[in-house]
Amino acid sequence: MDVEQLFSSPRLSDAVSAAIGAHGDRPAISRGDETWSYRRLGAAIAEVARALRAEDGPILYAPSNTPVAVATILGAIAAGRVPVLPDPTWTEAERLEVVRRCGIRRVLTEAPAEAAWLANPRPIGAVHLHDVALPAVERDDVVPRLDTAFCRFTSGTTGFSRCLEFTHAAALAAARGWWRAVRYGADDVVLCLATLNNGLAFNTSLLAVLLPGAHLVFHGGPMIPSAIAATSRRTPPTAVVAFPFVYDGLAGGRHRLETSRLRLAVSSAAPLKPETGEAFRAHHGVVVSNYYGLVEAGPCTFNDGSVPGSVGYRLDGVDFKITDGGAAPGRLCVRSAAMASGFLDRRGPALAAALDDEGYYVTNDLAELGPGGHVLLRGRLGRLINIEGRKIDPGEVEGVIRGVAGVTDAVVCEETADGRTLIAAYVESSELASDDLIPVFHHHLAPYKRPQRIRVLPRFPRSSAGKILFSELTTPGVP
Amino acid sequence: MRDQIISRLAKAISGVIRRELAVTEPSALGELSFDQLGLDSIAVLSVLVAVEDEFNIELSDETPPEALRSIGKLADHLEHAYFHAA
Repeated sequence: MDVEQLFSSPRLSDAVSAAIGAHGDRPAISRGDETWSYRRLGAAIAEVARALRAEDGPILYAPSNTPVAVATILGAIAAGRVPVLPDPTWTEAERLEVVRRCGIRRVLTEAPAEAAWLANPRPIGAVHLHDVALPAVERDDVVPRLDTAFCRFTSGTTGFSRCLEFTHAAALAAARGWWRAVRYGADDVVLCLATLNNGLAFNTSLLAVLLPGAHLVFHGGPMIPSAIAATSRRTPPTAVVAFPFVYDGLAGGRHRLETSRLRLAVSSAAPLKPETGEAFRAHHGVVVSNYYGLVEAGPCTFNDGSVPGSVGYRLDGVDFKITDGGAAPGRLCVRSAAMASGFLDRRGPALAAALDDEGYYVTNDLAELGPGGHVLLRGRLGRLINIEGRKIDPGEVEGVIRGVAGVTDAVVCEETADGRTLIAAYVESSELASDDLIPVFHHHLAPYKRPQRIRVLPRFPRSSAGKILFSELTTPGVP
Repeated sequence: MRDQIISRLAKAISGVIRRELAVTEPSALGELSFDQLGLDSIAVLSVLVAVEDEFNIELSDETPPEALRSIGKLADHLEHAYFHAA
């Protein structure tokens, strides 16, 4: 079978069906003691697709890292129902907001759900399908573009995570670019430790693994070195895909991955500490490939480690340019075949607003292009907080705080403690104490978005123009 | 046994959060969720590593997610999975 040709299939489902037909009884996906063959995966995809064909899309589904989740996503896509894939840790309030903004008509859950806005539950294989019980007036009348296959989220800078639409061609292009760099084959075993809703997993460990007939392994336990090492002993991987914090844990200490077959370790979504990369190489004998990617444009580079400090060279199908007057570093702009086609919401701004005249996505990353086109990141514009690969828009957290009665203003920012990044919230209120805000955070914000440091002040320090004096606000000891 | 486990968990957690846990009664400690202790998901992983060191065990890759919600749930899991026979 010509794998290259599969990536050029008109529809993602055609490519997956061809791979399933070609690899039949070979192992496709494992988690713990459970392994699904390609044949079993195909049957599960078909079951989900059959059940969803009669339903309305798009369908909200927060996937776990399981064979069932892969079958559910691919089955929904095969049925043309546009799965919308949020972070599984989002709260009910966050999911409900997505339902309202994105015109969601159905919700799939992996356990029976009891939310008041979900109705008429019915099983589909191992998952549960629900109708959304909201009056139409409470839901934006949004429908996906005709060629949209699925949606994923960007943390955005607009006060709420925004839902991006991806076509079949974009999904296949993202996987093709990655596959051309890593050349997974049927003998490869890819241990994926990143969550499936994140591009690190979705773009490098789904189609790029399944189309060539490789074996995808999910880790079922806590993301700690001993448990990960145990998973790696059960099915020795040829590649590991993980967020940087996982490498922090694996880099030293007493637990070692099973590395007898390991040829590739992939990291992205947040900066990998140089000392972590070096310690991992010393401990496990493999260089961590820390690549650059964007939710909006897919994986952009592959890092072979040949240029120290770089995030690698551009993947096939990706173009870079640096703007801002030619000064170095400048703003990194990316154009790729894997680009999202737009936002599945109409509350603006449109994705097109972030593109320049040549169709490049203008990022907030400052970069230089080094030898051989390697990308050297030099900083970042804007306010996004990156906690171990999860991007948090401070504006979203500030919006939640400002919505609390008795709060007159709020500032959310990144701070550090003991070398770790944390979210700090400064709240202007003469009525509230920090404990009053904790239940609000629990209701409105996923755990990774909740401030770990909360400081309530009766009045923020301000300039004569009324502007918050940020440096005074965040200085310890200021009353 | 459960109270002993909770007390040792409190010791391990205190090392991670770098402060003594204020509640000394094991039953009250057991009620505390990791969320209430201000531990995000990454900090909980640090707690688990400290727990492995404290009890000289390796947590299985089949450790149930429910065990990672509170001190009490983690104590129940440890008692059942690692100390039941004793």
